[in-house]
Amino acid sequence: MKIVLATVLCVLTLGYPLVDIAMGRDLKDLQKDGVLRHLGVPYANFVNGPDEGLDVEMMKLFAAEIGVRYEYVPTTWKGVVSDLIGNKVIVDGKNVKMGEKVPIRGDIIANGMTILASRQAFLNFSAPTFPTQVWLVAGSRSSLHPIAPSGDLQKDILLVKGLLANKTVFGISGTCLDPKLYNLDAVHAVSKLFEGSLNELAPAVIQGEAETTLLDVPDSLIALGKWQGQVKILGPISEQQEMAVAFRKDSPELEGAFAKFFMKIQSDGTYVMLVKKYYPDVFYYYPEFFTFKNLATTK
Amino acid sequence: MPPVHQPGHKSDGNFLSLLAFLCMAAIISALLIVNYNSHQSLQSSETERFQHNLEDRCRNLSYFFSERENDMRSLAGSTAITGFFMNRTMGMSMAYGLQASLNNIDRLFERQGAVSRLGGTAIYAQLVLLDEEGNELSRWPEGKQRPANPSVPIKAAFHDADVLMTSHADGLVTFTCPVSQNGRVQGFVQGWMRYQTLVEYLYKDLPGILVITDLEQIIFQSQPDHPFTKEILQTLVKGQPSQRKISLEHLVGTTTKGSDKFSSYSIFYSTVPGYNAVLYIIENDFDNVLQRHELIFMAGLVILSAGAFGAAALIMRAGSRKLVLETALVEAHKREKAIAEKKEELEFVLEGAQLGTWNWNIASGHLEFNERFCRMLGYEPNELKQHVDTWKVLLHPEDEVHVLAVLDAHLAGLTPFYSTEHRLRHKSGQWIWIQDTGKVLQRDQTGQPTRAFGIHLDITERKDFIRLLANSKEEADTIIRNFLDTLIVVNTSLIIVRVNQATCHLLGYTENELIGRKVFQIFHETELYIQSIFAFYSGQDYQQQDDKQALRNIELCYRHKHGDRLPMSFNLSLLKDDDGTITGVIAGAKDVSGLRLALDKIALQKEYIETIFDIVPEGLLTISPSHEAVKYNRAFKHILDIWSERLGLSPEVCTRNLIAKILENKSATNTFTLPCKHGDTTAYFRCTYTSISILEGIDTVVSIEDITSERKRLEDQKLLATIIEQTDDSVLITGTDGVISYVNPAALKNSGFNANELIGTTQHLFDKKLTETTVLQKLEIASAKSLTWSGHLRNRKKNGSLIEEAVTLAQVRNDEGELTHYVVIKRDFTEMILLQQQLLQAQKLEAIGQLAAGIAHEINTPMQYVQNNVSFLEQAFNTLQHLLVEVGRTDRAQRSGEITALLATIELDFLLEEIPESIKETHDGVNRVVKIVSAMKEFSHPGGNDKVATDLNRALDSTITVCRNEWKYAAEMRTDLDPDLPLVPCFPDQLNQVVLNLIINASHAIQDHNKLDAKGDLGCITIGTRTDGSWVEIHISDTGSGIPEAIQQRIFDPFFTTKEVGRGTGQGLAIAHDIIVNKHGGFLDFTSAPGQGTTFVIRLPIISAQGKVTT
Repeated sequence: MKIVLATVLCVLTLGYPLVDIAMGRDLKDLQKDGVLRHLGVPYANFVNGPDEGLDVEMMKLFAAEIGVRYEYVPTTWKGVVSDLIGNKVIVDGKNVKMGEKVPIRGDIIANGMTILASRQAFLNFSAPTFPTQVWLVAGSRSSLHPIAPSGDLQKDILLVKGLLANKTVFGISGTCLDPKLYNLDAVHAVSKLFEGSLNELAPAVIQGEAETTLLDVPDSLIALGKWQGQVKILGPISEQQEMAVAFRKDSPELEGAFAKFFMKIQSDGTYVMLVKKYYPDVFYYYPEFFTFKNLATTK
Repeated sequence: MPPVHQPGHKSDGNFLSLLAFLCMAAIISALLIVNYNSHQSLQSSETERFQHNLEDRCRNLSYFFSERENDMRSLAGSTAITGFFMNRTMGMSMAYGLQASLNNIDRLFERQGAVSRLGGTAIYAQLVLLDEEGNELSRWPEGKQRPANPSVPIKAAFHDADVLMTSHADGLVTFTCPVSQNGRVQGFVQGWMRYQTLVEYLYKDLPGILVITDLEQIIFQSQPDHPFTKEILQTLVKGQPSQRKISLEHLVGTTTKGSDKFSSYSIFYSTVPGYNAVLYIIENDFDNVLQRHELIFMAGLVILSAGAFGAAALIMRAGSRKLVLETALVEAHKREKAIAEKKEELEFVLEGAQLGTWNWNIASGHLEFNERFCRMLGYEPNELKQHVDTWKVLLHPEDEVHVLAVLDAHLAGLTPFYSTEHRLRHKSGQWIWIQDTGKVLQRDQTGQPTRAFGIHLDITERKDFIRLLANSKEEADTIIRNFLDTLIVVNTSLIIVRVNQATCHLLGYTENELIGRKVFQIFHETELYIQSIFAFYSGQDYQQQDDKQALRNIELCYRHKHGDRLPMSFNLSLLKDDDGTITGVIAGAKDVSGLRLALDKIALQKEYIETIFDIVPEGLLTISPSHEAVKYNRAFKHILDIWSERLGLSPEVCTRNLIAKILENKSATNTFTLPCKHGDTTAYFRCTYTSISILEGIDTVVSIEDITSERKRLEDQKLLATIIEQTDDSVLITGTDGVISYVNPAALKNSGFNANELIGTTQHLFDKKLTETTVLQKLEIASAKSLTWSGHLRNRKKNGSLIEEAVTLAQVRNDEGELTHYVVIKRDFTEMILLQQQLLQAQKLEAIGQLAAGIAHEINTPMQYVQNNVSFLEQAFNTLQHLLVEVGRTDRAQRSGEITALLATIELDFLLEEIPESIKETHDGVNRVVKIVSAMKEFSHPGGNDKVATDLNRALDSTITVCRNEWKYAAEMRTDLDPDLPLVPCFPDQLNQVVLNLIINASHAIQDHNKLDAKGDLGCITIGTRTDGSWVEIHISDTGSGIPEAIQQRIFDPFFTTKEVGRGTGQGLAIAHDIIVNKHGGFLDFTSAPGQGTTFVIRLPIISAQGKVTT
């Protein structure tokens, strides 16, 4: 009996890291360890490194709120989900399947991640934190001409897709910029998967590596500012989407703590100030998003 | 004492009073004039200063406007605005991206508005972005009421100036800049500004009314209730200098009523440089502080004067006795009182004016002076004796004569008053200047002066100042006048106000022609440039207290009156007034045409030197005292690149290493060689460095030469020299006369001579006696044709032995083609010829052997038939002989008649006797033939490369048989062969050859001996063999004439022969010696006694020391 007990204890003691690898942590574990590991992928102005970005600042505030230290864990779009859930994820358009187990490296994903149905299969998302949409962007030298907005989003999307016949379009698989999500094959667009980072899509199009690229609104606004006169927005390719913070399915307490925190920073205006700092133009494009949530707009 | 009024004296008293009145009036007037003049002067300076200040303000305003224009340009060219228009051109819509561009512009305007501030006030009231039609696209600050509707800019208005400044009547000014892309105006950036903001910050300290006008209108006035118009202002100032006095009516253009007590105004104005704006300052004279002070003072003086005048008038008016008495008493009292008061006032005035007074009783000489008089001279009142002599003593000796003359003139009544400036000695010993003014107040009846009164004013400072000023002016005048270089003084309006003679002379103008001219008119440079130089202080960033006060070494080009260009170097200094306000510049210039020429020449020489420095084939590097590389030429760069590539180091590291190496060697030698290995090759560089001290910044000059080729050439030469020294071929070098000048060691060894015996001679090149004539002819022909000759020549060594040499004779010519030397290369061919002949002989023998083998075979076969048949015949005859004998023995009767007849005819007995003999001789003959053939075959059997164990006896026997014909007529052959002689390893063919030669020589020796003795007897040749230990000996003796002792040493020498031509080549014994000694490791000796014969002994080893032995 003693032997059995000792054995069980040994297994539990030695196997705890294994358990950790397999099962991740929730709020209490975080508070016990004293650290919130933020999985960050450098993207637009959501994450610009360990010290800068809308999501970075929000996570730092969240860590302080729950009384733990903030730790930035750099990762990539390809690996961010598996770094959270501990499993490799193979995404093929809207289809997802789980791959082999991998170590869990973070506790929370906050880097401008779009809520997609395929992702919801293995992630829990917070309330939407940021509005987005996927636009079609081309280099200024492209012969493609931006559409004249009709006032009807669906019509605009069709107009934009109509531009893509036999045209190359960059996208990134496994993200909201995956061409497969928007049925571009049907319009005979030539999809090319981009191997670089999201931030490199605009310069790649400017260089002529592809005629166009899919780019979400935050990144498009960044590109317009960074590459003035070298890129043009042709129009929308998707409906309005939303971004949120992502959690493992088995960290409900952490998810709840974040929900509470997010309500707080919305109501006291902290969130609006952060958004103003990093995305001052977004209020023009999506005033309803922020108004609906009682956010003060700047314009 | 008051004068007693008597009728006779009344007029005198009145006259005196009048005189006193006039004197007082004069004094006070003088004071007023002096004071007025000084204040006028001060006011004038103040006015000028104010004008300059106004002009400076205008320049500041100009700068301010230009900065605003720059703001607009910057905004128009900003990424945000150009990006927006580009995005718009690309067709982007507000819904999808274009609004973001516009938001960027809003933020840009906000930032611009925030940074463009005057103090705490924003400069811009509004910043607007318009499209090309003038529609508003963006505006800052949003939400505020627009100060005015944005005016639609007209594109045509921008053809010259890219920023258009427009002033508005409501005190606003706009700066509009077009935004162009691809040559087309896409929109406009416009900034609005209020003049009020500007004035409040920049001009609020200006007195009076500030009015700003442009070409069209008054755009700002600080006091709008003064209804000035632009036209009036312009009319008032047209053609007039700044600060024009004018009345209010003229100013406003209408008659004014009212309480303007001071209706006089001064207008100051100045244009804003570069802009159509004029600043006016309108000041009423009441506001003029200076005038107020002056007025007050003037009023005081006038009052004072009036009081004095009144007192004098009262005195004059007093006429009647009683009235005079009473009045006089009263008046006297009054006068006394008045005088006391006036005196007090006068004292007050004098006190204020710091005047000393003197009162002179001329008759007594008593001179009463006041306290100030004394203190002026540094004395206390009681220290000076109140007598005129005191004054005279204090007079400066140089002034005394003049002063007394003036005084005397006045005392004599020749002048209305006395006034001089003279020096008095101060108590401290210094001289002070005194303005001495006085007047005779009383004269006696004879007209002699009795009393005089005067004042002293210390004008020492003024005098000093005037003197200093005069000195300075004179000095300046002298300097300017005599300045050898040109000098011009230009005021702030860039007008020439002063020039010196050197300038006039240089430019060909008179002084009057230059003064008043605009300064740029005397220069070839553009007006704008001249303005920037002569008004360098008016630059936008110029701060008077901090920035430079002068410009040095500015090169400008004067324009002569005739238009010639005169390059000059200018030094400009600011001129300032007492307040420090800049009044202009003074510019001195030096003719630098010569200097320029010299500089150009120097530059040319420098370029020439630098070109030479650069094209010199050796690398040159200069090093500074701090051991840094200063400069290097192209060749050094090339070498540096080679080092860098070979050593894998950067050029900088290679340079540093080189400098370090030079420093290492510096004390030892100034030349060293640097190897640079790369792979299998090494390059060499010779570095020569020299320390120099004549050039600043350069301590060492290094020359680097790639000596790889030179080194290789030297190594090649060394190699060639080594080859010549080490070769076995003889190399001789002669001059054109054939005299040997050099021999190599092989020549000495091969010839047996030493260097001294060869060098300087001609006779040992080759032996002409041994050289065929045709060869000599060919040699001469080749030499004549400058051809290289090659051939064989025969020569003698020092020991007399002959040698065959292969000779090459070549001519050496210099670069001009002139023959300088002969080079003779000789190779000893003697041995080779011997070997060749041996080979030839061996080949012959081989051929003979082969032939002999064939012949032997051909002969042997029939000889065999013959021998067999002869044997048969012998046997058959033997059988027949029995029959024939028996037949011969039978009885005649028993024989037939035929047989008897036949027997009678055949000579049977003779046949029976001779036939067996014939058969035997035939047999012998055939046997001999077979034997000879066999011997010949054996003799000439070709040997192999290996020694063969040979039966020497048999070989000798064969040889003897073969050469029988050579010896049978001369000698008898005897053999003494050891039957137990062992087989000896040898080359049988060669050995046979040796024995053959010896036998033939022996035969010839016997023949020669017989000839000498005239005998016909046969000699004897004896050949014997025997064994001696491990040796075998072959003896070949003859009974010939023997070998003379004199030549015994040479008989084995090649080509040595005593036989006549055709009988021997002199090679037989040499070859025999070579075969026995070298090929067989044996010995070939001889013993000889002249007249008795010679015995040759061949010793061969039984065991071969080398080579294979076949059996």
